[in-house]
Amino acid sequence: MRFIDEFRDPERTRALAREIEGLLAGREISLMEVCGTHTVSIFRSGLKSLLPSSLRLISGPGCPVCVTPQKKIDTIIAYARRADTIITTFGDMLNVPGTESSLREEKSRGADIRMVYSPLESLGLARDNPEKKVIFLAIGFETTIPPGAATIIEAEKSGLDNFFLIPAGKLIPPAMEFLLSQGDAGIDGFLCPGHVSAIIGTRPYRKIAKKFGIPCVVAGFEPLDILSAIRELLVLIKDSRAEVSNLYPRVVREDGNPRARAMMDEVFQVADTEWRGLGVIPGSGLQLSPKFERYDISLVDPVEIPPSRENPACICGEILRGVSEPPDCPAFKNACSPDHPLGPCMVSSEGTCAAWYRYGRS
Amino acid sequence: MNICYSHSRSNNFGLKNTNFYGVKIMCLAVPMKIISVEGDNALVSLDGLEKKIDVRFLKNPLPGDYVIVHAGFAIEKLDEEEARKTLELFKDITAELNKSS
Repeated sequence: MRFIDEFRDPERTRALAREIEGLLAGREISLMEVCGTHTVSIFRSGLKSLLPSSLRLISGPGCPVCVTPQKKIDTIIAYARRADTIITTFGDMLNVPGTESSLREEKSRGADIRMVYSPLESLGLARDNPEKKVIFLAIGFETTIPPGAATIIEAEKSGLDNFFLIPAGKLIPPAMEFLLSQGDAGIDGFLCPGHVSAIIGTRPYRKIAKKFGIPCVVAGFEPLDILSAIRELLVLIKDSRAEVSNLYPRVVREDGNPRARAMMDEVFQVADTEWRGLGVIPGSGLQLSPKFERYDISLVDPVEIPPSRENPACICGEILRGVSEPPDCPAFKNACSPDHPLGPCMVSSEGTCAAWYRYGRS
Repeated sequence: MNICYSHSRSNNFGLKNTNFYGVKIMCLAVPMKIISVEGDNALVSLDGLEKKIDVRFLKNPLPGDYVIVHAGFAIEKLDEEEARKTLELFKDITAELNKSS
């Protein structure tokens, strides 16, 4: 068994879709899939076409590139312009437009920007380039933060003094609470992110379910995972049970991954942070704890940036809040495309606009 | 950000062929199998392609374990027993629906 094909079985998929239709019974229900990987999976697998139109699936803010605010992107670009600097980043960040430029444009002008698969690769670069500062863009959610934390621990162990990071990690549960407290997306239930939950477990959702009376179901990423989670949400909504259910138990344990969380808690501490489209959400970000502050480039060697400005034609912020969909944007498929993105939601492969563009839904 | 090495195969759901190991990376839903372990490092394989990863977040990683990999780190082991239970549940649902329709 490889645990892939079994979760894509077409007969079972159709059976679940039929059951979902029966459970809906024509009612209008809105569910938010918090995670960008779910959004892509829903589009790519063609699940949309199997589901009734009265079921609205709203894409949430779970795309780390998308929610990184303009000011942070401009800051990164300012560091990239320094001759003594190597920037290491995950690939999706390259094309995100800042106020004046993007990392790709800076790279074409000679900036040293390297795409990494693991943040640990930054340490090898720091070792090989002792005259340079190597700065890792630590964007990501709970799934990506522990690898960043492990990289800091390794940097300390090896005594490297030319490795730094730009802390830009974000926490998902505070963003979910924020969206519900705004109330404008009309969310009836949350499809919770599978791999964020692998780290944090299912407990953080209990507080949300209780406080807002909204069921939360943790889902895997294959078609059967997603459909069974939708079915579970509809059952919970029908029975007015604001509960948390884990439908990805093959990966997600109730208490998550304590080793990964311990490393995250050792290196980082919770802080307020700004999300594109959502503004500053209290307690939703991370900064380095005092013991590791010396690795934060913005504290050690701050950079000045001119005032940041988002492209006024881009409605990425509204899309991230779940109040607009890509076709609502006049720029979508016109001025804005993956080859010429106006905003991050079209850049990231997890971005809602990119998913709509690529897998076409009109 | 996408630590997406997606997975190369297509099926009835129109899953497109994508690179196993691209620069764009998203939550990789495909479990990878551990081939060997040495300290915090392990060699994993998927469809014959091999990759070095870090396994420090796992308790007792062993060759043969399936793991979920994100940004070069195994974030969790796949529990085969739970996977089978979930699949059984799907079977029951299908059987129920076939009975009632």
